[in-house]
Amino acid sequence: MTMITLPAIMDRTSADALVSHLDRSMAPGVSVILEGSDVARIGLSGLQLMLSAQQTAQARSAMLEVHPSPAMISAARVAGLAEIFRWAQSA
Amino acid sequence: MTNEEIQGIFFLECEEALALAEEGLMACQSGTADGETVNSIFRAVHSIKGGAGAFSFTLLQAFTHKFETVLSYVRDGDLALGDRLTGLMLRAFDVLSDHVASVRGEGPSPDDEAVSAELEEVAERAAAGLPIEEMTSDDVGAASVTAAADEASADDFGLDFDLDDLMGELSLDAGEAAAMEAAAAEVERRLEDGEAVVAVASAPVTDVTDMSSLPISASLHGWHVALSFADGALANGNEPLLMLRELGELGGSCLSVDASALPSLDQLTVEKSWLSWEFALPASVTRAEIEDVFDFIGDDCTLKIEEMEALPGSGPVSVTLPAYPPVAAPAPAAVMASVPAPAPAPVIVQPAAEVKSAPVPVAPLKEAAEQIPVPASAPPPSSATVPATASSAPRPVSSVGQTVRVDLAKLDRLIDTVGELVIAQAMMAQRLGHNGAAVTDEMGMLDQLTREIQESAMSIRAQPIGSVFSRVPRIVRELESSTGKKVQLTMSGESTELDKTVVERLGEPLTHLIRNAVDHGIETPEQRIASGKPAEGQLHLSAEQRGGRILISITDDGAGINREVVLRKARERGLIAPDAQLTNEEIDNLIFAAGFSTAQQVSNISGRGVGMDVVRQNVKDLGGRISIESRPGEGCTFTLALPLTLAIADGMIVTVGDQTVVIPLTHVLESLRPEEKDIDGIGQDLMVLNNRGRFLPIVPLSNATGARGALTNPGEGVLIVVDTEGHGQAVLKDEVRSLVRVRRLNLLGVWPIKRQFDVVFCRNVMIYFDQPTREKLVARFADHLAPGGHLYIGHSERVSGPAQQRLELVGNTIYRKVEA
Amino acid sequence: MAEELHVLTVDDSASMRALLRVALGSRGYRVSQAEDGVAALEWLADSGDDVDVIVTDINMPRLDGFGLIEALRDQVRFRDCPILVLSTESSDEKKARARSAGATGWIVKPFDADRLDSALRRITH
Repeated sequence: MTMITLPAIMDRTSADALVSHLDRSMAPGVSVILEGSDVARIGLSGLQLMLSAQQTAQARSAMLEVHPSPAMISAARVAGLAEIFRWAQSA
Repeated sequence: MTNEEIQGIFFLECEEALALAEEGLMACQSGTADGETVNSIFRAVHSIKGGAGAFSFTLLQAFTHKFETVLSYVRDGDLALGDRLTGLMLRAFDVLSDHVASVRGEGPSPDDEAVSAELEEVAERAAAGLPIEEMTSDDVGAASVTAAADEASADDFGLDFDLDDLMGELSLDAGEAAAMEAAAAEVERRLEDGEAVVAVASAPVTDVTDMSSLPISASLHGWHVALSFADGALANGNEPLLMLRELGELGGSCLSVDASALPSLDQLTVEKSWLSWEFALPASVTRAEIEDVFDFIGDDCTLKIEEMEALPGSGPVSVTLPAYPPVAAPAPAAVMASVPAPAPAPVIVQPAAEVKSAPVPVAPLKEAAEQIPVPASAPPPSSATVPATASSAPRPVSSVGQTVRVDLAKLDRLIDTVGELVIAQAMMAQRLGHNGAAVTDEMGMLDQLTREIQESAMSIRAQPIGSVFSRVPRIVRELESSTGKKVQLTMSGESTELDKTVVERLGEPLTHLIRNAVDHGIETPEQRIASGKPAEGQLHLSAEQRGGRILISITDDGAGINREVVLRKARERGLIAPDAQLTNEEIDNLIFAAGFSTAQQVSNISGRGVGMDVVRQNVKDLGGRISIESRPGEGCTFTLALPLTLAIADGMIVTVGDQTVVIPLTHVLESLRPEEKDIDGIGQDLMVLNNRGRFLPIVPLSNATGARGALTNPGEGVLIVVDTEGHGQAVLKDEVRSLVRVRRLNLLGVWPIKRQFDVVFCRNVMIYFDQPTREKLVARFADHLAPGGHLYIGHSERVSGPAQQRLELVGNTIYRKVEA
Repeated sequence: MAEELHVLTVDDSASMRALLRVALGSRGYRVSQAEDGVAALEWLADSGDDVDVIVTDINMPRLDGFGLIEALRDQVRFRDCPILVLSTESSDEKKARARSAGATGWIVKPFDADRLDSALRRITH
C-alpha cells in the first residue's frame, strides 16, 4: 500500500512533482491512498492530475482511494467534474 | 498616511521629474541626447501623468498625456529630433511646469491651448508617418482648429464620469433606454473589474450607444459557451478554474466536459489544459459580460459564445473521459525508460542580484552584450533574466572604460567589512603599543595598506557631485523669476566625487544656500546699478577635493552680510548679551544661530520655515562644517567642508575606569585638564565647569556607562566639552587616549558585529521607523548589549515591544539591560 | 476569504506606492513594495518571503514591468504567482506584450481601490 499526502497547494509546480511519483506507484493490485485533507488550494493542473490518476489506476488495475478536502470538492464542482471523481466522502 | 501627505510626496516627485525632464531637454537642445535621454524625459512626464490621474488633476493629466504621446513617438524613433520638435518640447515643458505649479496652488492654471494643439498635431503627423520639420504655419493653424473640435473628447481623457448623469442627459425612447441600460450595465461592469476606465470614459457618447447594439432578442433564452485553453494559458499564472467559477457566479452551469484528450499519468504534462467545457448562461447576462471574464487571457482561450433558444434542464454534467487501454504495470526498467524522473532544472535560476553582477567576466563587455540577447536554439536556462537586466541597465554616465555593475548591497557589505578591518588594525596597533612592542616597519606598512584599501573601497561608491549641481540652474531660474533679480550662475568641479550617501543628503542644504544667496545676497538690478555693479549678479558654485574632505563653496557678488543688522537682531532676540563685543567673524556666524532671520519680511523663498541653523545642522549631520566669509558690499562665500564618506568618521577614544568609549569628533568642542578654580559645585551632586564664562554641567561618563574604578574628581581627569544640540556639556574622562575611527552601521541591515556593547546611543533615529521596525530594533539593541549595558535614546522615543522585558528605565531616555 | 494576502507592489513613483500601500493596507492586505524591477527581484530573492500576488507598473527605470514579469516567470518560485499590471497605458499592443511576458491581468491607472481589490481577489483565490 502506498499513501501519498497531497500538499496544501496543488498548483502546476506541486502537480508536476507528483506526476512521476504517482505513476510509479500505480502497479496492478497495489492500493494507493491519496490523503488530500491538507489541500487548501487546487488549480486545473491539480484536478487534471487527479483525473488522470483515477483513469490510469483503472487501466492498470491499481486501487486508488482519494480523501478529498472541501477545497478539492469545490474545485471539482466548478470544473464540472464533481460527479466523475470517485472520491471518498469527506470526513 | 493622509491623502494630503501622499499628495505631498507626489509634488516632490513632480519636482524631481521636472528636473530630470529639463536636464534631458537641455541635452536635446545641445545635441548630446541619445535614446536614453528621450526615454528619461518620457519616464519623467509619464510619472507625472500617473500621479495626476491618481489625484484627479485632470488638466495636468490631459496635458501630460499629449506631451507623453509625442515623446513616445520620439522614443520609438517615429519622430526625429530637430530644432522645431526640440523647441516644442521645451515650450511643452514650460507649460508642464506651470501646470504642476498650478496644482500645487502656486499659480493659475496655464493657458496650454496653443502648445496642446501643436503637440496633438505633431502626434497625428507622426502617427501618419509624416515628417514635422516642414510643417508650415498653416499646418499649425489647422492644428488648433482640429484641437478645438476634439476638445470635448480630449479633455475627457481618463476622467471617470457619472453614468447616471450621462444617461439622464439623453432623451431616449423606451427601447433605446433598455439598450442603453444594457450598455450601462456593461460599462459599469467593466468599471468594476478595473477594466480600462480610460478607454470607456473617453469613448464618445455615440460609441456608448453602439455598445448597446448587443444581441438581446426576444427569443433569446440563454447563451451557449464553449471554451478551451491554449497550451500557454496556465503559464501566465492564469487559473482556468477561476474563470469557470466566474461563469458560475454569472449564473452559468456546466453542460459538459470533454476530458478525452487527458493523457494517462505516464504521458501527462500538467502544464497544459487538457479539458474543454460547454457552459450554459442565462439571458440576463450580456455577451460582453461573458467575454469580460476571459478578457485578459485573450488569445490563450478559445471562446465560442452562441445564442441558445432554450435553457437546458439541470441535468448531470456530461463528461467524456479518456479511455486508456488496460495494461499491466510496466516493469520497473521500462518505467525508468519511458518516464524519466523529472530532472532537476538544469541550472538553478539565479537571483537577479547574482546575475547582474556576473556579466560574463572573461569576454569584454561589449561582446558579451552582443552575445547575451541571442539565445541559442536550446534556450539556456535563465537566459531571459540576463538580457532583461542587461539591456535595461542604465549606461554609466561618463566612464569610457570598462565597467562592472555591482549590487549596491554587496558594495555596502564590502565597505562595512573594510570598516571592521580599519578598526581591527587600529586596535591591534594600540594593543601592541600597550604591550611595549615597538612599532615595526611591518605595522606601518599594514597601517598604510589598510588605509589604501579603505580609500579604494570608498571610491567605488563615490558619485560625481554633478548630480546635485545639475538641479541648481533650475532653482536659480525660478528664483530669478520670483525675485526679479538677474543672476549668472557658473559652476566648477562637477566631476568631484564623494560618497553616494553624502551626495544623496547634500541636496537640501545646498538648495537652501543657493536660495539664501539669491534672496539675501544678490541685490536687485536697480540696487546693483546704483552701487556701480553690473545689473546681473554672479553666483559661483564649486566643488573640489582637498585632503580627505570635499569643499563646496557658494560665492555671490552681492551685498554681503550686513553686520549692523545682524548684531541688532541678535541683541533683540537675546542671542547675545547687549554689551557683548564680537569680532566680525563672530557676527557673521550669528546667522547660523537658531531662530535667527534678518529678512525684513518673510519671503516665500528662503523663509520656508528653514533657517540657516538647520542648514548648519544638516551639514553637521553629514560630518561636515560650514563656514562663511562675508565681504561687505562685495559678496559672500559659504563653504561646506564635507567628509568624503559617512562610513568612517573620526572619533576620540577615551578611557573611563575599566571601559573604553568613543566620542565622535564632530561633537567634541575641546578637551581640557581643568584647574581647581574652574570647577564649582552646585547642590549636592552637580559640578560645573567655568568655561570662559559659560558654566557647563560636568557629567562623569562612568555614571552613564557604569564603568568601575573611574575617577570622580574632575580635577584629576580630563574634561571634554561636547556639543549637544547647542548646549555645551563637559564630560569627565580619565584619559584621552587616541583618535580612532567610528563606522557607520545600517540599522536595518546585517550587523557585522560579534562583540557585545556596554552602551548603545541611538538618539532620534527610531522616529523614522514604523512601530514594528522600532520594536525589532530595540530587541536587536537588547541582544547586543552586555548585561548591565545601557541604551540611550531620544526624548520623543521610548522602548516598546517584547524587548521591554529586558531593558529597565534608569533615567530619562536611558535604559539598562537587566542582568541575565 | 479571511486569509491575509501578501501583495508586492512595484512602482517607481513614491506617491503611487503610498496610494497603493494605503489602499491595499486598509483592505487587509500585507503590502510589500519595491521601486523598480531590479529592486523587486532583489527583494524577492533576499527576503525569501512568499507573496500571493504581484502588482507592477510598466514604465520604470532599470528594469521595466515587462522585464520583471519575464524574469519572474523564469523562476520556478513565481511560475504560478498572479502578476497584475497597473499602468496608465492601455494599448492593445502593450497588453499583448505583457501577456506574452506572462502577466495575469491588466488594470489601467488611475485605479479605484475597490476595483483593484476585487481584481486581486479574483486572480488569487
